This record gives sequence, structure tokens and C-alpha cells, in this order.
Amino acid sequence: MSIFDQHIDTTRLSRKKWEYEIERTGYQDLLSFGTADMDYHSPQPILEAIKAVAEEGHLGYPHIRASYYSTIEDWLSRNFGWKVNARKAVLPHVGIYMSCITAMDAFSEAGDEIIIQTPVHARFAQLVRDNGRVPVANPLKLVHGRYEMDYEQLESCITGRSKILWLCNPHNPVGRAWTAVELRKLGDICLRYGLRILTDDIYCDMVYPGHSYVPIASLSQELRQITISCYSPSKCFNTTGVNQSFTVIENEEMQERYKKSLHKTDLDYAISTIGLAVTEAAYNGSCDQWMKEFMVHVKGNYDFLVKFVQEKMPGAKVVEADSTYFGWVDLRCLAKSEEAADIFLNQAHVLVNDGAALGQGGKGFIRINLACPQDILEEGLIRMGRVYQAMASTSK
Amino acid sequence: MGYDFSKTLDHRQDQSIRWQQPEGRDDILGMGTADLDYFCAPCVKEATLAVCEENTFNYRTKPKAYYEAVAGWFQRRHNMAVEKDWIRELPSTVGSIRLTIGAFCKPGDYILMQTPCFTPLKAAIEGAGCRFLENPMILRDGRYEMDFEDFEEKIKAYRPSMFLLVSPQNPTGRVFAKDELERMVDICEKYNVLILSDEVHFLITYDGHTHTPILALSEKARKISILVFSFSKGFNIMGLPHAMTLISDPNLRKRWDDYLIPYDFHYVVNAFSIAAVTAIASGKGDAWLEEVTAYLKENRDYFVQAVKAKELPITPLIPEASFLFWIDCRKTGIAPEKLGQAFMEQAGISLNNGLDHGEAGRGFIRLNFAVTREHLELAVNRIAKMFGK
Repeated sequence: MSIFDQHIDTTRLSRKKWEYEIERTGYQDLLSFGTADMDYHSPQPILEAIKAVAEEGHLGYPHIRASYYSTIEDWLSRNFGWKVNARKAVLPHVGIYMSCITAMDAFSEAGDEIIIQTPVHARFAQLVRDNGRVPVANPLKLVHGRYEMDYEQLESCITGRSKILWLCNPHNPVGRAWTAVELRKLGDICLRYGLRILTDDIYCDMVYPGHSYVPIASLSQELRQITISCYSPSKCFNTTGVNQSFTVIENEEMQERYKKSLHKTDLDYAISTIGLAVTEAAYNGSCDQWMKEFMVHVKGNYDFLVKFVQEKMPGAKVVEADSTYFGWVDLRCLAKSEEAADIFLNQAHVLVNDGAALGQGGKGFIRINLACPQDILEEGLIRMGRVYQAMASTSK
Repeated sequence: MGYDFSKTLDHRQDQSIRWQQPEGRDDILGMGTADLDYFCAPCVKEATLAVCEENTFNYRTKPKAYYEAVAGWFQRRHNMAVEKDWIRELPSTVGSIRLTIGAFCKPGDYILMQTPCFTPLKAAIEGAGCRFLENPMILRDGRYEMDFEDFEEKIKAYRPSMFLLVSPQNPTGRVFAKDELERMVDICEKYNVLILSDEVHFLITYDGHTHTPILALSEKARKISILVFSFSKGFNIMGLPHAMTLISDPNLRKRWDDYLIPYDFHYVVNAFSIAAVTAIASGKGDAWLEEVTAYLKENRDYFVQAVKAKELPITPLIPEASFLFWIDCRKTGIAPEKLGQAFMEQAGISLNNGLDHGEAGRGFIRLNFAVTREHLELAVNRIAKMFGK
């Protein structure tokens, strides 16, 4: 049996995705496909790196070692053919959204517009708003069951106050790793209109076999000059509880501006020893095989989902994905599609995310986290299938 | 002694900020940055290893045990009731101070601080666009005292919106007595000045000096005060970032929470920090803390005596708390601007120049004595040699 089909011992855990949701909903038999975490142990090299820090038991202020930078450099070059000078371009932070917020602060002002490609993780629009900026939607287009960018709409929504295009690559929830062709086209528009590109690439290692992730900044000298790329080992290596992220900014003047914004929160002293160790372990190549196998498993779950929906949830459609561990399911055939997530939760005790929260184009969709053993997914789908049939029959 | 404080990291492994070596050297004693050289208490190791065993490092909730432990700590050690609602977390104390300033002060506002003071706090004030207002302490017979007259005068004249208290004080090592704190609170209340109390150095105190958390003082204090602290200085867990902010007054809490919304810190819950803090706060590190305090006291007394015995031209003040010496070097004849450089070049010691702590630090240095006795003796010998003794 694949390690990704094994159930881990959860007796001592207090995870947001499971124990918290069970307590919140009061459903002891809840199956959670919500919060973007995996139901697995981290790969062995991550565990060993953390254990080594814990065993050593010395936790004074850590110094960022040369190996931290060289590991990131090698990883970007080895996996994505992107050569950067990490010592100059990389700055760590305590979480990917902190990196994004800092960039927003550095490269826009209150009242400025930030373009996001909806449907996209709800926090994008929320963080833009919370920081006094205005989120402007450039909705993705669903073309033959697969999402594409809408370049025309993008050009038409740009105004004098548009400062940043906030990209998500690979895209959460639609599961697209944007191709070089798509990114170039997008990049050209940003260059033409003087937009900076802030890109959240937290799912970069999670691509299905045969597909690849392309860092937009790696595509041209011009794009390097306008891009802030944000990374974190948290999603791909299941270390969201370790609080570690970093940015890559190659434009020196932009890097200076970003640093200034970084100092506004004064979190320079908040670098975590374990976070540094995790970053090195995640990117030094020792986890590559695990990640490959994980994505084979996710693809298996995705195919299972597609087949199940075809057979048992007539009318519903699973969007074509090439990356991430999300299944993005179109339920717009149902009269009650907007209540579907609630109904699945309350009638089937299955937690999935309601697409409506993800902005324009999200209504009537649900997001299913596929990073779980297949029998859990199967059980969840069986429960959902029953409720679905009841929903579908009332739709007619 | 059950714990061994005579061992430390091999600093050539480049793991510590404090022990970074300049190009071409590997013998510099790192005695600047305020962390400790000792390995952590066994309870920290146990707690972090236990999380390793779970081997699932994803988004966590803060368990009940964490809140109970923190409340229990203050009840047991400071006779102070802390409610769960008071507790907020951020990954660092300086970050928390910076953001709390942002929540309660407008750019251009004055913020009052006692000097000499820890430089990053001045930077946090200025970073928020606020103006740094000094209330210099008075050095009287080798001990710094509050200048209450100046304190009230400055408040009257400049109407600061906040008093950023550092208690115990860094770098002077003063533990403020209850009546001193009460007087500060009275004056601040009278002029409507919010108190932000940085108590990060509260864990290690000597000679019967007792730290009083600002929120333990009185109802009056709780209405106008915010307390920031961490278990890092003392338990040496800076590498497990975790600072706590305690706010008793519901209106202050609301304002703080509203201001923090854009930063979205809810997801910044480090599983290892929570585990270590829970273990420490529940008392599992008490014995270790007691012993490290005893070890540090011996270090402190040894250094003071050695300086006296060797008739060195420097005068360390006797810290009442924490592990930092504030040393008067005005008799050395070394230009105040050059003190840091002189100790680096002539004694191979990296430390903090007093001038980095404001004008009040002119002619002083700050020296971290949370090192092994072996390193401290080496430092004494090198300093003696530097002065031809």
C-alpha cells in the first residue's frame, strides 16, 4: 500500500483541518476536505531536519547560514532553470501571506487597485481590502472544462490606479500551473501597463506527472525586473505549522523598497531555527522523490474523483487540473448549488469549501482537498453522492 | 547543580547571530546580542521532540493546555490572574511593540522612553513615524534611578500618546520596585498616556529583586496598560519565535485586534513554539530557570570582582535582572564612538557600544554575560591585557 493511502495516528493532534472542525461542527464522524493541509506525515528528510534541531536543543537567535541561500539557489536552478543570486534576492518571512502583504505595502498605496484572477483563495481579496487597497477581478475563463486567463478583460480593467497583478501559480483552487506561453502573454500586458507582478507560488512543487511549473520571473530579463515571487515549504511539504516563507526579488531597487516595508513590522527577530532547517531540507533535493510519489497519488485521487462524479453525480463536472491537490467541482447544474457546501456539511458531515467565497466565478463550485488516503476520499464522496442525488432530484 | 551550563555550540558552525566571525577570524568572543549560550532546558527539548513524534506539522489550534499553562504561570509566580481573552500572540516582541505602537499612536505622536534604552525600540518608534521622547535615568552611586520630575515635565510639555516602559530595564538591568511602577501609572493615568510595558527580561532576577508585571499592579494600571513578554530571554528559545501580548481592558483589546486584522497573523501559530511555551509555563522548566539564574549570578559576581581585583579602568553596574552588563568605560580614555571597535580589535570581543543606546549611553558598553564561565574568564583576561594588566 502506498504511504499516501495509510492513515496516520491522530490521537495527539490538534489540527485546524480535523480536530478543530470536528469540535466546531460537533460532528464526530466529520470528514474534512477543507483546510489546505495534507493528512500525512512530512517527508522523512523534513522530520530529520526538525529532529536534529530539537535534539541539539540550542535555540538562541539563529544566523541564516550560507547553505540556506545556496540551497534555494540550487533548487530554483535545478528544478526550474531559474538562476538567481539568493543572497541579494531572497528574504525570509514568517508566512507566505506576510510576504505578500509586505510586497503590497511596498509597491502600492492605500486606494490603489490590485488585480486578482478569480476564483482565487478568499484571502487574496480579503487581504487587499484589509490593507486599504481595492481588489479588482480579472476572472478566469472556463473553456471546455479548463481554466484560461482572460487577457482582454485584463487590459480593460487596468486603470491609472492599478499597481499590482497578484498571480497565483499554480492556481488555487482551479489547479492550473500556467504555461510559459500563458505567462509571457500575461507578463507582456503587465509590462505594457506598468504593473508589478506579485506571484504566490506556494504550490510550485505540486504538479501532476507530465506537467511543469514555470516561475514567471524566469521568462525574461524584463519580467525579472517587475516580479516579486513568494515561496514557502509549508504547503508542499506539509509544514504549515512551522511559519516560514521567502520572497525572491531580483530588481535591486524593488528589493530595497521591500526591505523598508519589512521593517515596518519589525519581525527581523522572528526567524525560526526550525523554519530555516525545514527550508533547507525541503529544497536540497532529498524530498524530490517523495513529492513525485505524492503527486502520483493526488493524480490518482483526482482521477477517482472525476470517475465518481461522472458516475454518481450526473450534471456535476470536475474542472481539468494539472497541479495542486484541489478538485474544483462545478455544481451549477443544481438549483441549490450555492447551498451545496452547507448541505454536504450538515447532511453528509463532509466538509468542502464553498466556491462563492473565492470571488467572481466561484459561485456554484466547491473545492475538495485531495491530499488524503483514497479510502477517506471514497467514503466522503459516497456520502456526498447520496446527498447530491437528493439535491439533483429536487432540481428537476 | 543538575544542569550543565559549561557547554555551548561550536560557534564556528555559523549558527548564531551573536557569534558571527569577521572575515579571517575565528577567535572572536560573541558577547553582544541578548540570547544565551546554554543549551535549552530539558523540557524544551522534550516538548519539541514530542511534536516531532507526532510528525504532522500542519496548521494547529492553540490547545487549552497552552492557555491554562500561561495563566498558571502568572498566578503561581506573580499572583496575577490572566484570562484567556487577554492573550495575543505574535512571532516577536519587537514586532509586537511595533504593531502595538501602530495600533495606538499616529505618526508625529511622541512616545516617551527611559534612556539609555535598547536601540531597536527607538527604531520601532521612529519606524512608526512617531517621535522619540527621552526621559533619561539618573546614575546615582552606580545605580540608575527614575527621574520622576523630568518624567512628568516631559509628559506635560510634549503630551506623548504612549510611554514605552522596559521593565526590567535594558540595558541598565534595573528591576523597578512596585512603588516606582505605581508612580509611573499614576502620572500616566493623570495625563492620559497609554503604557506599553516590554517585560521580556522578566525571567531572571537577582538579590531578592522581584519583578512586578504591570497588569498585576492595580485596576488602574490594567485600564491603561498593555504588557508584552516572551519566554525567550531566560529560556533561550528565540529560535522558536513566540511573543505574547496581554491586554486586560476590552476597549484596548478591540483597538489592537482591529489594527492587526490586515496582517492576518491567525495562521502564524508555530507548533513547536506553542509546545515549548506550554511546557515552560506549566512549570516544567522552573528548576532549570533557577539554576541558570544561579549560574548567571556567579558569572556576574565573578566578573565584577575580577574587574575590581585587576583594577581595570571599567566599571560594570550591578544588574538586578537579566544577563547584560552595562559598563562605564569613561575612564578608559577610548573615544566613545570607538568603544565597540576597540574591544573588537584589542580584546577580540564583539559587544554593543553604549552609543547604540542613545546619547545616554555615551562612554558605556553593553556586554552579554550569558556565556560559559570559560568564555567569561577568557574575556576578563583579554580585557585585562587590553588595558596592560
